[in-house]
Amino acid sequence: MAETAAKQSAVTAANIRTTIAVALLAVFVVAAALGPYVAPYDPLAPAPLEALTAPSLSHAFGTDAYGRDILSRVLVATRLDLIIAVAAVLIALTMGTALGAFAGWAGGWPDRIIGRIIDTIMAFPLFVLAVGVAAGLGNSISSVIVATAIVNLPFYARQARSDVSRQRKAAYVEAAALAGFSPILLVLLQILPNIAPPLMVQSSLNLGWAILNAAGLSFIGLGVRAPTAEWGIMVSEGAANIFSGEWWMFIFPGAALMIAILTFSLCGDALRDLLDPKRR
Amino acid sequence: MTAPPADPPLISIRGLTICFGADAARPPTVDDVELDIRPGEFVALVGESGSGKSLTAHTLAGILDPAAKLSAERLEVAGIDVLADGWDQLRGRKVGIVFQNSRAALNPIRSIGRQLADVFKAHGTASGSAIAPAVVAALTDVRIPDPKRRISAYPGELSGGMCQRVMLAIALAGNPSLLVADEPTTGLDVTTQSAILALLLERVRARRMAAILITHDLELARAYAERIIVMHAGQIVEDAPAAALFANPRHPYSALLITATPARARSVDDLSGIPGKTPDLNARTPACRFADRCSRAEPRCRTEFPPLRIEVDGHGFHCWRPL
Amino acid sequence: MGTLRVIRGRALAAAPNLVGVVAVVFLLTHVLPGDPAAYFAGPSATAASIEETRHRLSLDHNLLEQFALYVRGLAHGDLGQSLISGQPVLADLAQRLPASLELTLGALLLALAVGIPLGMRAALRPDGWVDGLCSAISTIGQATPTFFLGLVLVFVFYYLLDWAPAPLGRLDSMLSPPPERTGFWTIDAALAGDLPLLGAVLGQLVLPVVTLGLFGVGPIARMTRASLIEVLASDYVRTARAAGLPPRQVLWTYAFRNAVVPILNTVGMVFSFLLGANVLVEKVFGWPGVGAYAIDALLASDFAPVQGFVVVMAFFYLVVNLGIDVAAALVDPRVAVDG
Repeated sequence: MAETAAKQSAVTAANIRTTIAVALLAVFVVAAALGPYVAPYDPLAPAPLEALTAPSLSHAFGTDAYGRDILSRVLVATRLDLIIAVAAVLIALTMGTALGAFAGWAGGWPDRIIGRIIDTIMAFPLFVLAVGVAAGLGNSISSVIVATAIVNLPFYARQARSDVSRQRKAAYVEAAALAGFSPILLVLLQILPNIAPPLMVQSSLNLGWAILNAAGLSFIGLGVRAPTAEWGIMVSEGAANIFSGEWWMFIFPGAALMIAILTFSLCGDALRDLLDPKRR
Repeated sequence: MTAPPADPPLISIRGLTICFGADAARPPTVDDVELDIRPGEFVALVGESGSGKSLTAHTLAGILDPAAKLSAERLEVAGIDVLADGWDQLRGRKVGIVFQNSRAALNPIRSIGRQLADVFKAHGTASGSAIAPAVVAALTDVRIPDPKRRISAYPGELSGGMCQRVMLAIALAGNPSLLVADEPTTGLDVTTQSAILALLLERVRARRMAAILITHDLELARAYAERIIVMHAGQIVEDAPAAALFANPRHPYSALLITATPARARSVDDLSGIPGKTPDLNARTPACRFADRCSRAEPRCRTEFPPLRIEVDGHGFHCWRPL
Repeated sequence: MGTLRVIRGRALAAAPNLVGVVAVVFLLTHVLPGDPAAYFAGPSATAASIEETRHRLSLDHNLLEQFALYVRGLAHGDLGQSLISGQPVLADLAQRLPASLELTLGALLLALAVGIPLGMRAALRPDGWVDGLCSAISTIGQATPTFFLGLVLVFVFYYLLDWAPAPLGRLDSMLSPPPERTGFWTIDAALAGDLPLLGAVLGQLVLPVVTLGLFGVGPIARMTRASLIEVLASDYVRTARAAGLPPRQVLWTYAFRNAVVPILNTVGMVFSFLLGANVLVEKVFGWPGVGAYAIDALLASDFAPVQGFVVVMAFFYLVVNLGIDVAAALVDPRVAVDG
């Protein structure tokens, strides 16, 4: 009886988790889509007279050193941060899966070379590599996206490579080839339903990491430049004002970051629960 | 179960009951087991999987699953009242145990010499400079060739049979008075099986130890044990000297077990297998758990577990309608 | 004997990664859109100085020759010159490395000191409150940006509570650093017998080390728990218990030692993360380490230091991984065999 009770509460906890995750995700997506339209103030417009005011009825999150409304800036920044993350993960997903699938299919030298490339990427401390790539490609948002993509690529490449190379040796592939069907197409059609679930879970988690990575890069001054509203750069701007006690400048964008990352992590867990019947 | 002993029994168990799970309505996995074993006796505990034989044996060795709930009226092993004092003085010192799948049962990253030395040190059987020769002697006793070289070997480098011998050496290292062998030959090839069992028998006799052999193989039990206890679904059904059991089984389950053994079957038709399967334990489980599978069952069997009946030469059984 | 062989084998296996790392770093700065000479000459360069830079850095040779020259330079410890400091990059890095290492190693020690006992307790009492604590720390830890945590800690412990000193580097500007022996000011202050100074140095270290280290606690605790639970359920631990070995010995010699290898691997991953997060923490706490050096150079378009920083960090990580591999092989001889 105690066993089933424990299992029951675990299931309920998981359900609560899923509900929260989906709700939060919805909030972020809506914020990203409608942010600029529902923001109470212009996120870029300075208002020196209202600089550094604490959270109040007129400015729910307070204002920054230029008098800009922080709530508006956090709202609008949602779009930029999510776009950066989604773009980076999409690139990592497509390029990584393509590379991995090719390596798994071709075997031999291409496999070894691609394997080495992946190993080399993983031989770097990932944030260090991101800094290096951003340095190499110039100080812009696109280099932040590319850097984040490169750093996330290996996970997809490895997954795709092992899936494809395993299926390549399957008997049905040989049979298809003999029958004249394109074996590559067959393999892709076969593995797709198999790798889609773990891929979705992985992507959800990667979205969290991508946001973390991009925010870190903006914090140190790479990619996004003032006066653009972005969570990382807002935290950086707020850092200087800690000593004078204007806590709202860094807390709110930082909290937004945390909640966003947590949301994607919870979504990943929820997806995993959904797609893995053994865990039910 | 046996004639009143001249010397006190090595092991005395009354009313041993083991439950799992918090469901109070569920019948216990091991149900009211009563058992006496004399010093130097070689007993086989026989039954299908799920019969509770391993649980009983593990209880004696002091390694019962922590999730299991145990209760008993009496549980005395080699002079230790386990219910009062616990198992700490028991493990390795009074009772040794060998398991099946010996390679997995040995620490893969520690040499077998050191594993043996650990046991010697723990029980004070040898210490200081006497340990190394004691280890070599222990390995020689279990017939491991070239023992001096082998003490630095890892389990992964040894064959299954050699690992089993090492495990026996470990079990004996604390000079226990009882050896429990839990299906020690499963997974070994036939030649190795008999070699290991012969070794086990020899070592146990040489040290005048009692032994309990857990097995599902009746023929094996007959070949090595002087007394056989048959268990079914957590209940002891019959307890008799080996020869007597085979010549004249009193409990229907024992009779079926015997005819299910290929060597004993007179024809292929005799290999009937035993109807039904080991019962799930729930509120509808009858008092004698074999009742649902028994061709001789009567209504009384479902409501009242038959008390022990002992006949001449210590042949005991629990049955309302014995054969 | 066997140990040396293992080290050599692992080093050989790691060598291609080293080559790859060097190649990637080379490519990073040599496939820049635009003229690399202009980048290295700096934003205030004239046409003449650009040409001079081009020649000096051999950028007029073809890519392969440049790579060969670069590798040769690396082998001699030539990581180029910093425009800002005017010093060789290697010298700049060497001077600042102890500061960064003191942070990273301190954080690693903290993560181990907290994570392993936490994980062990969770393994011995699954589903207890410690277990839940482990999970909670892990989840929240993974979602918190390092720089944000640092700022929160500064705000709470410095601004609000006044417990911690100002996050302005390794030491209050009023005090002078201990005589330089190792570059690690904790060790140097202790060696000089200057206890008040040691206290001041440690005080400055607390917040940044906690910020960094907290992120290591989650993964280490989780892996310790998982690995130990699996090992405690193993047949050989059952044998050890049945043989009557003292519980202490069963836990440490038979269980923990067998659980160590996955934990070591996790430590490697945590270390990689720490090397990256170091950069952020140095920014938040004004720490004069290699990360801050590289970022300042990057923002000033001084690229040689950035390149040098990436190479050195990657090389360091490879060396640490090698060390971890060797340690794992020493603990578990099976690892050495099938490598």
